[in-house]
Amino acid sequence: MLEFPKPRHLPCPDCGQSVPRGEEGGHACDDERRLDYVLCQLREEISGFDGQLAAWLASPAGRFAAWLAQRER
Amino acid sequence: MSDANREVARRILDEVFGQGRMETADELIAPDAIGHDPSLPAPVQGPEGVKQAAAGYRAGFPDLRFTVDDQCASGELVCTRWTAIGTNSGDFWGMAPTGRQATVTGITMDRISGGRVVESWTNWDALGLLQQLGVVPAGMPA
Repeated sequence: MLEFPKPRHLPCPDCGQSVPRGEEGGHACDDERRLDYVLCQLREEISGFDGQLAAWLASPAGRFAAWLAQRER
Repeated sequence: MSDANREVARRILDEVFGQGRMETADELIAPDAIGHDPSLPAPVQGPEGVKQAAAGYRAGFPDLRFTVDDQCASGELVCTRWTAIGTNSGDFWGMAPTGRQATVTGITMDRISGGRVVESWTNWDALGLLQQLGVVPAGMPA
């Protein structure tokens, strides 16, 4: 019976680099590529951070935290 | 003639699709050329069609580059076996970028007349690409 096709390369789960199947053991992630890959996965979270921070600062808890920080400066 | 035709086919892959040098499409694609690629919604027409197709692939994979693995030529026909690699850092086929790098192979047959491509047929591993991007399972689970 024919098997479902498998690609000859798969991206490293940590850095996204294309690695030939069977050579995963010899692969070492490049730090910069890994950083870019992680940032890509987190891009929605990163782009929403400022809005979420502003919303929290406007909340009672956020306003209290800001007041407390200012008082303790 | 064969060597010149092979070079035309190689330059289109390397320069237009692999480097984004769209002026090469104006140079090497005949005005009434037709390109057949089942992964595209309609046949590609002329240099502008090739540019649009290349721009679409490069938007999804800005660092896209091609390697010619083998070529053969007979008369007006050139057959090129190639490997492409790129990182999916832009929107592609309606999908948000995955950040994954993918390697796919393909074959393009070009009919070349007067130093320009007049017709081409391309088949490439679109399933493998979708598997590497994580959109389609990469093999059945054990």
